[in-house]
Amino acid sequence: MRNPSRRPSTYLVGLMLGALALTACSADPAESSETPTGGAQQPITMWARAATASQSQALVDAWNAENDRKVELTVVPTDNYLQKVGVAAGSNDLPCLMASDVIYMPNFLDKNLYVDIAERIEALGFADTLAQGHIRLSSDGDAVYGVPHNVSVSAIFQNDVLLEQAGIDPAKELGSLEELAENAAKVAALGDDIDGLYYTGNNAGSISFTHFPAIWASGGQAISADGTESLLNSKESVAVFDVFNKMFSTGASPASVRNESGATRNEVFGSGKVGYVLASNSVVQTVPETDGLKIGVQGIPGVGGGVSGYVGGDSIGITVSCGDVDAAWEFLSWTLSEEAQVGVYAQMNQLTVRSDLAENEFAQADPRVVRLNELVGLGDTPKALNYGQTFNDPNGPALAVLRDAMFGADAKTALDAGNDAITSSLGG
Amino acid sequence: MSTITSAPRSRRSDGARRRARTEATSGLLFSLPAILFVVVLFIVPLVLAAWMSLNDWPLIGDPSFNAPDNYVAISNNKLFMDSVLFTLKYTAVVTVIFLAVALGLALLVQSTRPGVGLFRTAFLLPAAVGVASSALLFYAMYNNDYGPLDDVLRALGLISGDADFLGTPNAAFASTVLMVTWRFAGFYMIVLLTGLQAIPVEVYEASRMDGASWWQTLRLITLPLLKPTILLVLVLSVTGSLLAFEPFYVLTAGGPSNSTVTMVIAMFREAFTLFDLGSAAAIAMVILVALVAINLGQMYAFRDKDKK
Repeated sequence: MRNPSRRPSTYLVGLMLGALALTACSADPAESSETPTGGAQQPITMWARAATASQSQALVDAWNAENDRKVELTVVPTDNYLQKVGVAAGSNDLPCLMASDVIYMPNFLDKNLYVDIAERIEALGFADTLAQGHIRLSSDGDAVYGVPHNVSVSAIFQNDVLLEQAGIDPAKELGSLEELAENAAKVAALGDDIDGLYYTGNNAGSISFTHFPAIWASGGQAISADGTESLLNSKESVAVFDVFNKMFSTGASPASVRNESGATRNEVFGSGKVGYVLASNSVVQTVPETDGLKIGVQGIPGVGGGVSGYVGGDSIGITVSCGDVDAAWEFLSWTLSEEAQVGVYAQMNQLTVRSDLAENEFAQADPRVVRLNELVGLGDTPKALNYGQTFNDPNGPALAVLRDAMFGADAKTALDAGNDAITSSLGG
Repeated sequence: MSTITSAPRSRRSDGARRRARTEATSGLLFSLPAILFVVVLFIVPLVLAAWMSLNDWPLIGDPSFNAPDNYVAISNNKLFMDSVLFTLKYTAVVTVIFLAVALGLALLVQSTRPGVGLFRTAFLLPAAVGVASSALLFYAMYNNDYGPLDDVLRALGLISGDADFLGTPNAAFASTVLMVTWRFAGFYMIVLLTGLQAIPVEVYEASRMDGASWWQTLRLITLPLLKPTILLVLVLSVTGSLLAFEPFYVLTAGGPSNSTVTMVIAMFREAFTLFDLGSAAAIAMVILVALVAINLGQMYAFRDKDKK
């Protein structure tokens, strides 16, 4: 009888297991967690989140085309970004350069993930033109750990065609939030299927992105300077949400804003049946104009006047795992240069992170982009360690309070009742 | 005499033992890849999650042992406790609907008449769409300013005024149930169809000969013989529904007013919104134990009582 153990298939299985074991044991020592990334002549590693990867990729491609020392970009799914950073930070496997949604910079600073580059930024000669909200969120005392990598800004986008039909001069700058409400009511009166003002009303992150600027423009603040206290029950904030509440109750804003999570916001505006939408600059880049839709841009006004915008986007810093900080900075400083900001970003119709380049040759071809670039200089970014946990939490107190303020019976009652819960979430 | 006869026996038994040993060794070698697969992808993560649940484990930073705080905190986590009841309600509702709709569809397309293939494909097609994509599709349809559903329902005279598909807790729940029924009913139809086709035609012929009505045939022939397949559908549906995440995450984000938060959404929030991996792991362990218990209960309830 043939011994089963000597069958060729048995040897095959043994061979495969041996190969598996060898593979498992043959990890390249250069990849061990003890070795800093980005040693001499190795590519400079970089991570960016998928949501803004096209801009990072454009910069990296332009750099790699001209330089021997390459940058190796890894695009991480946006929803997995923090998890990946968390795991990598634990094993000292962070990339040399790490971009991050700017609102999470305080969290990364708190964990000492970046090296201080304050002196290098100062030596650039144009430090004061960099998006100051990003610099503030990347700073701890005198130390600065990051620079703006790309920016987005919230603004009001208007359909000039509908505005003209409603008897509104599209070229006239909005004087106040009340004027926006009046105009939105006029547009909504054009017909049953026409909306005055549309926005994301079921996502606290988006609401803070589009509504906090109205509080700033009114002269108030949404959260305290140290980021631990909610000021949403302040008189400026209450006045702002009261205007939105009245727009909703009178039909100037449609019922569907209450359920809008952001997924279809640009599509609804793109239908050409909306007078105004509160959104990010992505509208200009992604919503195509038609005969019934000519897109104009305005800053977000406050109650009684003023104008502001929320400057979002990504900041980027050199991590403590980086083995060649000088090489990483060489790339980073180049990304801030006019060559990169105008030659790469402005050419692809993106906003520049430097206010002195707002009126660059490409932006001038589209006055709306010039206006958006100006808003980056006028706008702000709130700083709080628990900002993401508070305002990006669909099940936390912030969304419930903000929705109640906009869609409930009374804005003041809702904000007074829920302010402490938001403060508690902010860690105050 | 005995010594003469015992020697060959001993040799035979030694050989048999050797053969048994080598066969056992070969068997072990053959199953090693599967064992490795289970250990690496199931046992190790499970042990890690169990260990994580005993620690204060931030997303970034060093963990510290804090047992049993994470488990104690579950009882104070109102969002999770509410989500348990909601998830059970959702599971009960969709499982009944899945079973009824899928069985109805399977009976419709059971016989091989001309054109029945088209219907089978049409019913199964939604199962080829990803769950998150399906939810996004329905999200767009439920938007009165963008989707056509509102206009269609009004044109048919089924509603007057504006529909509010996601604005109230009941509407959001019903809209999500409709979406998952569209997405999953076809899949369960195929599962039940395989069970139906395994029932011998002779049994149906015999029942017809005995003068059984359609209802009697369904109740006394089809359903009893379909019991193992129904059990499979129940296990799949109950397990999947208890772990529901994407439909609610995309369509309602747990709203309005946290009325549609499932257990997994509550767990996800602990981990990736509040960055408390220890609490999330503790919730995961509780859900795991509950799932195993429920599945065992289902199998016990549906066990073959006639088995000797």
